[in-house]
Amino acid sequence: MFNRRSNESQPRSSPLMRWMIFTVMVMTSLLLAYGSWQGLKHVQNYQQLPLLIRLIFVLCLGVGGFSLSFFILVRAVEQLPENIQNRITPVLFIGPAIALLFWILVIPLFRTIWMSFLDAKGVDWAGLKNYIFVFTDSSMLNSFRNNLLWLLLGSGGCILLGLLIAILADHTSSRFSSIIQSLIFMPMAISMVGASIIWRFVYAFVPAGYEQIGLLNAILVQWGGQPQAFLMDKGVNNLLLIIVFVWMQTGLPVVIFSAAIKTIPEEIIEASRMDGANEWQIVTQISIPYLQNTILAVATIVIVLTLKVFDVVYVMTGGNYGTETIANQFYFEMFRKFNYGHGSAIVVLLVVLILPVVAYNLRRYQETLELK
Amino acid sequence: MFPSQHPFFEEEKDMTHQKKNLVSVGVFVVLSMLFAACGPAATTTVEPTQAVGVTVQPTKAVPPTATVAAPVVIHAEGPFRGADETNFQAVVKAFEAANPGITIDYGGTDQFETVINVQIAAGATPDVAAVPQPGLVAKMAAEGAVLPLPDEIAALYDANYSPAWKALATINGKIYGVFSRVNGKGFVWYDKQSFEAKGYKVPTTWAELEALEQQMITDGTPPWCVTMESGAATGWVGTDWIENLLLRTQPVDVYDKWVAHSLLFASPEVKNAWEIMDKRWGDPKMVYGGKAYIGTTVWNQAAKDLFAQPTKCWMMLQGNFITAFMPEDVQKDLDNRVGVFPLPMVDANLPKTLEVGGDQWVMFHDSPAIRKFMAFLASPASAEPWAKAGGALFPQKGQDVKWYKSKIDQALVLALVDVSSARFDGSDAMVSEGNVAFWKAVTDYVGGFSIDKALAEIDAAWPK
Repeated sequence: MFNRRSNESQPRSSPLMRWMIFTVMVMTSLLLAYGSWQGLKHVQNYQQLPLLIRLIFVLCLGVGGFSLSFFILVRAVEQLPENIQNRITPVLFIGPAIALLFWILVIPLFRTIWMSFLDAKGVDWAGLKNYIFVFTDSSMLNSFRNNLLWLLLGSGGCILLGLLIAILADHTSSRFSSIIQSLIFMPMAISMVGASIIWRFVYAFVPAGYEQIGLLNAILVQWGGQPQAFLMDKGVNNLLLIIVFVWMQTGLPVVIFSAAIKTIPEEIIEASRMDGANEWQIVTQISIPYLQNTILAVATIVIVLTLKVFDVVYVMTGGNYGTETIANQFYFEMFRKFNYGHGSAIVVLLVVLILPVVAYNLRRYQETLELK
Repeated sequence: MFPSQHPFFEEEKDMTHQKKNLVSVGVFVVLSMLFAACGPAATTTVEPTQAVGVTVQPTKAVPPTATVAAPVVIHAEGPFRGADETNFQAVVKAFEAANPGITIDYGGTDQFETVINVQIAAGATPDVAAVPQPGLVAKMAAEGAVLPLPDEIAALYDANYSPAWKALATINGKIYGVFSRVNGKGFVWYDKQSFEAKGYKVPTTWAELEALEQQMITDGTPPWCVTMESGAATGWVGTDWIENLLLRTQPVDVYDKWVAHSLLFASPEVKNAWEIMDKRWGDPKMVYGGKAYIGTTVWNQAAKDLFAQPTKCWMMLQGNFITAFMPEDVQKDLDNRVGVFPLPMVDANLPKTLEVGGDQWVMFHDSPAIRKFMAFLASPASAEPWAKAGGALFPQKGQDVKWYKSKIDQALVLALVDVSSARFDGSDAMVSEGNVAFWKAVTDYVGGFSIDKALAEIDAAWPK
């Protein structure tokens, strides 16, 4: 982008000269980056200065220094012959992003894999011990069962309910359907933790004979039942947590499905009506096949969300009373027991579980791009 | 991923080169202006010491012989947040006023144990930290992450603390922490007015307590208020019960062996303590709401239930910090509304031992300024600002008991200062795997596990 203009407007100087300019500019750029870095490191020694001054200093160096360094580097590349330039420029632009991603994502991932073969303190070799723990510990096995429940009921519930509501809303007047959609989307504006706290009150338990503060128990008692400690009841507590998740997350599928339904060409539906199809047939044989890609896209998002579900469980039961999930077990092993080996092995397992979903999604995305 | 994203990408493709050039030129202009503005600032970075004219204060590993150059910043970290942090800042102010040239830069976190472990692993520790868990102090001492106290500060223990506190702070013959805010556990709290109106008498022996419990059950109200839901820490209310009962049924050395896990959880001594608790927790006539209420209700709700009208339950076993969670009208009139007595000894022949906990200040780095701060924290002067503000008790000798507003606090602080035999909260002093397993086992017991199964679970979780 920069090269085109400069190449046309500037007279070409000798290749040697240009290489020299290039070298000088690259060195300037590196020196500037190094200077900014050192400057940033020194700021902490000036605690006596007012915070605002330190902040401006940090901003100037962190944003200004590094941007200028990068800018000079880009300019330097423009001094090179065009064929080399065209090869380097893309690398230069995407390089910092890739490097950063490498540093904060790829290296930690491999380090985690490495640590999953080390002992609790991350020092001595432990072989497969951590993985044996992951697949034999009773809490871990419990968490697998629970995650499967989350996957089936949580993801399934979100997608099916989302589809149902979107299709039904499409059949009502536009004003009514937008009200419905807003109402269902609203919980998404609440944080997971906030919603979980609200729902803790819904499920709250007070002994029989006293005023119930939990909505569910109040209804139960009103109808002559005995109050129940729902969150301790191993028969239903997982289901009740999943309901919170579905209540929160159904808004996303509804909005996406509603938008996608509007893209179904009116002619196809007209034509099928003419051919005598009833509403049910239109939905199952036209709308749903037409929405296939959208459903898959939404499914991957929701499936990944349920596989790594943590906050709802952490807030509502702390993973106690048989509600632990894989992500909660990870937190428990890593940050409560400080067993780095167990924690790392659990995360590796979680990545292995999530990876196929993401990979499948990426491949489909590639395919749609190629189709265009 | 979303179909709605596609148009966005296409729009980008349509953007003309002209536009892009304009943008890049704009960016360049803005950047050069920014950098020009930063010019003078940037030059100071090369030689920061001369440019600003301040001596650089290294935060790490200053040789103790170095002289104190003013101003010095000490990085402190701890679990105090909210009102606690405000009160602690009053302590800091008192220190800074007495030591001009030293400033304390304090950061608080409610995830202290997690944060400090990560910092140690990363090699980015603060200068000093207040550690609430004695087990964590022992672990950091064993790993060499914290420095043993210099002799001049360790010597302050003989002058300012009772021998029981010195014994608690000593790990393998060395002292690592300075006790500051402390708490005592094993106190039974009750609603003074209702209690007296009913004609109940404070029990002084275990037999009297059991008789009182039966009396309360006959009168139709369960004796105990217990709730314990506490997020990921759920279970600690129960571990406190078991620890206090063990200290009242077994000699101290049994307790010590148990904390070190040379005495298994499945042993009859521990099981007996758990069964005494179970006799109360497991019986809906004995405890308000039964296990279902205990397990699903936030732990400090018991402090509210205790004062409910009509009475829901009569007594609550908790540490001194619970007063801060009582209803506001009760807190305003603590001395008239609240009664407290120590849980009686089950085996009256044993010497009394108080279960205590507390924040220990430890040093990660050494410098004359840091030593001054540690010495200050070990002195009664550091207790004054916070004691006057309320909400914390301090163990240093030489405090004026009038700093504490309520008679309850005054009595408790005297007990803590003059304590002759004290032990840490056992679960806090255990290795973290054991601590967590103990909490979890109490929770599982409330959720339906048998006592034997719960005990076996802890022994199995202990690191080999």
